[in-house]
Amino acid sequence: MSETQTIALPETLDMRSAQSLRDQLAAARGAPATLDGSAVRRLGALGLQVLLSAERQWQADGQPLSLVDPSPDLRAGLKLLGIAESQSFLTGA
Amino acid sequence: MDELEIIKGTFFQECEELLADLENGLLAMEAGSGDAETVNAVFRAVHSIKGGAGAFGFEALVRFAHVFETLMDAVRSNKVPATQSLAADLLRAADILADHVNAAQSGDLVDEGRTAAMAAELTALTDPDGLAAPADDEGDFPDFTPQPIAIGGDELGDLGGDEFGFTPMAVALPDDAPVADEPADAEWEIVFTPHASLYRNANEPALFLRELERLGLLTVTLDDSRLPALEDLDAEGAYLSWTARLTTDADETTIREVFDFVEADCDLIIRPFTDDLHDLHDPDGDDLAEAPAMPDIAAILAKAAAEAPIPEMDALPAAAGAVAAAPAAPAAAAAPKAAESNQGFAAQATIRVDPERIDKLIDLVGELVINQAMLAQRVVECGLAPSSSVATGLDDLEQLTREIQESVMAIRAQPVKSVFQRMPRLVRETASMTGKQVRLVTDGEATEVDKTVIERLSDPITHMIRNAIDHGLEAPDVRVAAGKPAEGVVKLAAMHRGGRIVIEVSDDGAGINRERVKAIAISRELIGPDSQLTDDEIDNLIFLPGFSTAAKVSDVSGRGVGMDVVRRSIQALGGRISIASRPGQGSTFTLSLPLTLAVLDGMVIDVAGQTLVCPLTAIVESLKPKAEEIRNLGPSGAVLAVRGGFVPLIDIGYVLGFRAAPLNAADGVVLLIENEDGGRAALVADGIQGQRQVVIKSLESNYRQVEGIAAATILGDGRVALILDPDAVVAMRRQGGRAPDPALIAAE
Amino acid sequence: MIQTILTVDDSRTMRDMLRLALVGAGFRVVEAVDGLDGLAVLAGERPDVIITDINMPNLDGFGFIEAVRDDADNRGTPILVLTTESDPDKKARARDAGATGWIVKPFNPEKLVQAIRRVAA
Repeated sequence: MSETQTIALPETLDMRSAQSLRDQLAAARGAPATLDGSAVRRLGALGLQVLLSAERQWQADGQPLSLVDPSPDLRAGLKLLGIAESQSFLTGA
Repeated sequence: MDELEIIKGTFFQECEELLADLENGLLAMEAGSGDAETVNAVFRAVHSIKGGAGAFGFEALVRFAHVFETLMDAVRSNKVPATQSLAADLLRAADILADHVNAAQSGDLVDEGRTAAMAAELTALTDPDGLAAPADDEGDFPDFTPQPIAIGGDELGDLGGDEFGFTPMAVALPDDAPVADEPADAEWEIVFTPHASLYRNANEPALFLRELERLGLLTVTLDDSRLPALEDLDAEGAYLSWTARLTTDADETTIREVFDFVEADCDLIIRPFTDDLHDLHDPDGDDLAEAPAMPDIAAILAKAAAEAPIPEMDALPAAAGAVAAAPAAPAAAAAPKAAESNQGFAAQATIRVDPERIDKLIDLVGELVINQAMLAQRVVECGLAPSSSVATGLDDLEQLTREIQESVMAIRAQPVKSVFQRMPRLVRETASMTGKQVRLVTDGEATEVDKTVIERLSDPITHMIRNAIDHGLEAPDVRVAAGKPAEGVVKLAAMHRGGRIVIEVSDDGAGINRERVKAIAISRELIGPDSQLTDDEIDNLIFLPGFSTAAKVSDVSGRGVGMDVVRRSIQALGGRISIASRPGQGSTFTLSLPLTLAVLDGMVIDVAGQTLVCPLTAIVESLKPKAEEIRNLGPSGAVLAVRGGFVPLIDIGYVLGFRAAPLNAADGVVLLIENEDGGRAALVADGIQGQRQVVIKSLESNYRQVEGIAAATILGDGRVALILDPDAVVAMRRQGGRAPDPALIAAE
Repeated sequence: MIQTILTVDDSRTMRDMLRLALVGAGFRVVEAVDGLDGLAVLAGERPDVIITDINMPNLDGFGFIEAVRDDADNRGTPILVLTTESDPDKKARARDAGATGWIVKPFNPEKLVQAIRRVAA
C-alpha cells in the first residue's frame, strides 16, 4: 500500500500558481493523495480548475484524493465559485 | 479639500513645464529638425494638460486641448503630415492653449472668438475633407440616430425569437430612450463563460461573482462538464462556466457593467429569469455556448462613427521627409533638450523647496553678515590687537560667513531661461502686429542669476524686444530694397561679465536715426539747439524722460512706456542700460545688472560728514588728485585730467544736497567711474574708509525711492549707510544742465 | 493586509491625484514616471495592482504591459490602464497587450476603487 502524499496548497490558488500546482499534482499521480488547504488565502477560477481536474484524474486512476483542513478563505472561495455542498471532494463528497 | 488645492498648484506648475516642452518641440518642428519623438513629445504635452484639466473641471481648457490633441494624434500616426507650416499653425494654437491655462489659473475668461477660430482651423487641419466624425467626449454622431434597441431581433443570433419576451434594453443614449425596469427587485439569470484570453489578462471570475454578490442575492452553479482530467489539462485554459441567479433591484446595465472589462473575452448572457426560461434552459449548455455575447452598444456607436471613410493621406513619405530634415537653426537645440529633459526627469536627484524658506535663509545669513561685521568692529574698538586670538578667530568667522552666504545665494540662483522662454511668443505676436518678419535667436539661457533679479528682468527685456521689432527692424520690403533678407533677426543674449550679469538685445535693423532723434530732443527742449553731442550721446538721448519717436502712439511699444521708464526700472535694481547703434546695420541694447540684489561689494566713503557706500563694480579706480590736475571751467564745473583726457568732476555731497557748494577735489578723493554710455566721471568724496561687503537693504520697501541712492545698509557700528547709485548721481548732475560739456573740454 | 498599488504616469498631477484617492482608500502606493521606470520598480516591489497611463516617454503603456506579462514574477498581476472614454481602439489595444481593465480619465475616487475591486481580491 503506497504512502499517501500530502500536498500543501499555496496561499494564492489562481493564475499565478495554476501551472506549478498542476505539475506538482501530475507528479503525484497514481497514488493516494491528500491536499492540505490550511494555507489558502485566495481561490481563483484557474486554481479551482486544477483541483477539479485532479479529482477527475484520481477518479480515473482509481485512487483516493482528499482535502484536509480547508481554510475559511478556501471554503468561502469554493462557495463563491459555485461548488455546492457535497458536489465534490472539495466540499466533502 | 486642501490636498486637492495643493495638487491643483502642482498641475499649474506642471502646465508651465509642459507648455515649454510644447513650444520647444514645435519650434524644432518649425525649424525642420524635429523627428517622430518630437511629435510624440508634443502630443504627450497636450495630452497631459488635457488630462489634468479634466480632473479639475476646467471645461474650456479641456475642450480646446481636446481639439489640439486630436490633431496631434493624427500627426503622430502620420495621418496628417508634419510640415513646417503646420508647426507654425500649431505654435499659434499653443499660444491659445497657454492663454486657456492662464485663464484657468486666474479665473479670467479667454477670448472665445479667437479660441473658436483656432479650434476650427485645427479641426480643418485634422480632417481637411470633413468626412470623419471623430468619436469625442461630447458624443457627437451626426449620422447615427440614437434609438432603443430591441434584443431578440434576427441579426443578433439564435436566441429563440420572441418566446423570451425581452423588454427593450435600456442604454444611456443622448436622445431620451425609455429607461429600463423599476427599482423593484427582479430575478436575473447570468451565464458567464470565460475564454482563455480573460485569464491571460489576469482577470478573475471569482471577483466578478463577488461583485454580483454585492448587487443582491446570488446563487452560483458551476458547470465543469468540459473539464478534462489532469493529464489533458492546460493549466491556463478555460473550461469552466457559471450560471448565476441574482435577485437585485439593479438594472441590467449595472449588472452588465460588472463584466465591463471582459466582454470581449467571454460569453455572457444576462436575462431576466422567468420560469419559461427555466423550461427552455439547455442543461448541457450547448446552445448557450453558441449564443453571441450581448452587443456592446458603446462599441457599436463608436464603430459607426469611426467607420466613416477617412481620406488617404498620400503625403506620408513627404511627412517623413519634412520632419527629418537636417538640423539648422539654434532653436534646433530644442529637440535634444526635450529628450534630455525626459531622460533627466527620471535621473534627477533634486528636492523641491518652498521659496519662502530660502528667502528666510538668505535674510538670516544677511543678518549674520551684519552681525559679524559689527562684532569685528567692536573687537577693534576694544583695542584688541589684530593678531590676538579673538581677532584672528573673527577673521575665520568672516571667511566662513562669506562662504555660507555664497552657498546660500547659489541655491537661489536660477538660469535666465525662464525669462527667455516667454520671448518667442512675444516675438511672434509683435512681429504679426507690426507686419514684420522676425527670427529670434537666443544665447546663454543657462546663465544664472539670483531669483530676485530674474523676476525683474522680464519687463525690461520685453520692452527692449518690442522696441527692436517695432522701431529697430524695417518692414520686409524696405529691408529687401536695402539688400538685407526680408526676415530680421533679434538676438537675445545673457552672459556674466565683470561680476555682473549682462543682457544684450540686438537687432539687424536700420539703427538709430540720429538726425531724427536729435531733432526731437531739441524740439522737446531736452537739449539745447546748439548742443554738440557725440554719436553715443545722441543714441542715449532716447533714455530721457518724455522722449518718444513715435509720431503716433503705437500699440506695441509706445503706450506710455518709454525707454526712460525701462532705464529707471533697471536702475532701481542697481543696473545700467546703454545703447550702441550703427546706421543701416542695427542696434544693441546692453543691460547690466548685479548678480544679486542681496549683497554688494562696496567702497565705504565719507561725504560731507555722512557715510556712504559706493558699489565697487562701478569704480574704475580711486585717486587723490593734485591741484594741477584740476581744471576749472567756471559755472560748468571742473574737470580732472586723467591720463591724457579730461573727466568731469562731480561732487557727491553737492549733488545730493549735503552741501551748498562743491568741494575742491584736491581736498578730497576721487572715484573714477565708468558710465553706462562708456563715458567717465570723477566722483568727489571727502575720504575713503575702506572696502567692505555689505548686505543690501531696500530703501524702497522701507522708505521710498530716493534719486541717486540705490539702497541702504547697516554698517558694523550699527549705523545706516546709504548706497550710492553712481550713474544716477552723474545723471542728476547732467540733467541739471551743469555737467561740463565734453565738447568744450575737447576744445581746450 | 494593506494592498500595494503601483502607479505609472509621466504626469506629476495625475500621480498626485491617484495617490490622494488611493491612500484615502487605504492602499499603499508606489510610483513610477514611465514604463521603463515602472519595470525598474517592479524589480523590487510586488504590487497587488498596477495602474498605468498609456502615453509616456521612454516606454509607453502598451510596451510596459507587454513587458509585465512576459515577466514570470508579475504576469499574474492585474493591470488597469488610464484611458479617455472615447477610445475603444485604445482599450482594445490595451487588452491585447494584456491589460486587465481600465479607468476612465478624469476619474473619480469611487470609480477608481470600484475598478480595483473588480480585479484584485
